[in-house]
Amino acid sequence: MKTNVLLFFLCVLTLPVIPVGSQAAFGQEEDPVPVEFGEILKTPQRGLIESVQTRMVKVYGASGFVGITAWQTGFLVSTDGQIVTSFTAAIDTQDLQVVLNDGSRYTAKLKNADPVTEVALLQIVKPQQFQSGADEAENGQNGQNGKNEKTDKNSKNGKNQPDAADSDAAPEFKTPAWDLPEQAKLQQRTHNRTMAGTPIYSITNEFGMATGNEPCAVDAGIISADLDLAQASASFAYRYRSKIYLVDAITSNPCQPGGAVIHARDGRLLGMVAKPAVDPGTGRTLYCVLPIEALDKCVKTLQEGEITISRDRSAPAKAWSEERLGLVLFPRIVDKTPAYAESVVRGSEAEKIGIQANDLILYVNGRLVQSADDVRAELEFTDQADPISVTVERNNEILELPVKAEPEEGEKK
Amino acid sequence: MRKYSLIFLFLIFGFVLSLSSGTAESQDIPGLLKRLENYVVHIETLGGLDQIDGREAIRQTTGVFCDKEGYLVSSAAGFAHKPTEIFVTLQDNRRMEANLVATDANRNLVLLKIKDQGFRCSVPNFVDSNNLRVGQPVAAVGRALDAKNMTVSMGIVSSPNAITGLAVQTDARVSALNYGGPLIDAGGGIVGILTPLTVERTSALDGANLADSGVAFAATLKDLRTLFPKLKAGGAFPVTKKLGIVYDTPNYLLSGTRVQFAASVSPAGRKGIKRGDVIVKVNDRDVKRAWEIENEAAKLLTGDEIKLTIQRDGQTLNVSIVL
Repeated sequence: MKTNVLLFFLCVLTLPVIPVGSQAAFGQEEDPVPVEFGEILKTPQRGLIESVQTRMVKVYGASGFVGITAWQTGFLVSTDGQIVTSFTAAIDTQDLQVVLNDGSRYTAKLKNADPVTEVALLQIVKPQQFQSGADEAENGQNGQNGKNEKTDKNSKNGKNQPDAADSDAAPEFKTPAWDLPEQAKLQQRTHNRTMAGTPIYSITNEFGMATGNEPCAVDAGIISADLDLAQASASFAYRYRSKIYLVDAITSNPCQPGGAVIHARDGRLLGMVAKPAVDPGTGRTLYCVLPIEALDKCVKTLQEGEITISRDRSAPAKAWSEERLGLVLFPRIVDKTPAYAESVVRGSEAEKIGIQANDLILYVNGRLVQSADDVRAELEFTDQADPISVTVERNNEILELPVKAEPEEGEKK
Repeated sequence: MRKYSLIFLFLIFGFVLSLSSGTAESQDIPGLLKRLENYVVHIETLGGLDQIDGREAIRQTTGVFCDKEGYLVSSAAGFAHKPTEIFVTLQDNRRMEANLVATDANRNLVLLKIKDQGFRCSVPNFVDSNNLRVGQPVAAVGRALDAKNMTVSMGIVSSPNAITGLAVQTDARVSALNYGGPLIDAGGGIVGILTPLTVERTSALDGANLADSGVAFAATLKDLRTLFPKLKAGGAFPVTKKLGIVYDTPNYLLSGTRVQFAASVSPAGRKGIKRGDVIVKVNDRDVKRAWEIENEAAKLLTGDEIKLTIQRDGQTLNVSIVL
């Protein structure tokens, strides 16, 4: 009887604890409210887009080549005028022009760039008056607009902007900017949860349509998936090898790389629009966004002046090959010769893995191989120090051969 | 007393549990994806043609389980290159081989079956697309890119009854990334299978160029119950023939079940349908407008029989027509 009463009290005590406890955890680690289905179709909070626009930059780089777009998007990441954008051929030039949201135009230089994440860091060099020859008329107009905007808009960004007219003085050059480490910290709350379904706005200068103080274009969408492209099944040679966001919003138009992707609900920065990639398995263009955590890390490195070493999926120092593995594939008769093992050298690595003659090799390292050539290519990209996994078809059965755990001593050297 | 307090205890625990599960089951997209993960699978294909009509073959696609014996439905677009082997990767990373059982060119779908006879799976919730409203949010889900991750695209219902009632039209982005995957409503119910479609349907990839255009389709499975046994028997069903009737009406959508003309070579003409006949019932269902007749015929497969009840010279006749 006593135990019963005790149990009862215990139960009553835990009753309020459970929901409160879960709520506390909820507040710390996740978004306060789960994302509703179809939330992206709602009207955004007043002022949300406008506040983001103040940090957007239109970047004008090298032009003159037919077919190469010379404009793109970027955004400010420090109050002294550092801008991140996508690293493209267009900005690899001495003569970079950037136009801030209020229409003020500056010269910028390429400070540093990471060839892997394809993030470039620009620095505004000096405030400069509008005088580039080609679009004088347009600039004149913009200058005016910029002033009008300032008089009727008392935003703090307006105050921070140096006046275009007396920019020579520019005693305190200060721009609105995103604090990347802080934004990354906000994102960490949700780091162990999928971001798929998150409603987003991408803010980009689509097709270079906005000039002067015109705001960048806003596209609505959601995060379609967060995944590691290099690990996705047939994706073979993606440059960037860690988590990225695929977005369900068009970000592949010219000038869109370098744009900002924000959370549609609270406007926090989720990432930078990266160059689109094409998936070989489906032939589909993927709209990629570099997540804020990776962007923050990369920008930190770039600010310190170190160019990160290329982590390209280039051929490793000591790669596998047919011969080294002791695997003899069926001779290449046509382009798509099926990957049959004709024979396996006795005592070879292939034998240790468990490949037998007449096996049809289906997967190497988790990737479906369409032909013997695919097997050769996959082997070329696998270091001998790394384990190699093979799946074969033998007597109409799919066999996943056990992964060879440790390479032998002799091979390591 | 002991008994009662125990019961009370259970009641309270049950209440707490139901509360917590109630909040966990929110209708957000990660939650819906989680619920779909055992039904929506990654499919890879081997062999076959490299190109179809100048278009690269789609070698990776998505499938959805539709029967507990391991039947899967997918878009015909991913199988247009006639692959020699089909591999299905399940949520638990198991890789199974599958066969192509049937092709329905009408809905541009295929029916696959896991080769392993002993394989059993659970089946998702298919909901009636007739209850959809224009403007209602829907999500297109695919698993073609990666076995571990689904991709999701948001949109609205543009039309619940497109392509003679065979498909739901949506403005969600539908492409090779999610052909074969489900179009789901806010409750996670599957309203259709994403697939490229056009009115003509000349090939399995017809309509694939509409990706990202704002026009996309999900073939509905509202006729699944009648369709499934026929597909299970196997075969390749071409686009169902039209009845071949020209109706005496300025607007198919508003009126007109009176026949103006039936070509003698058409299925209807061969069965003696002629000018002046008024069609009152199709498969024992009353019809008032021409499109109802055509939609009823369109959802059948080639070789199926359709029963028309017509009025001719004051008499009521039943005519069975094989499409």
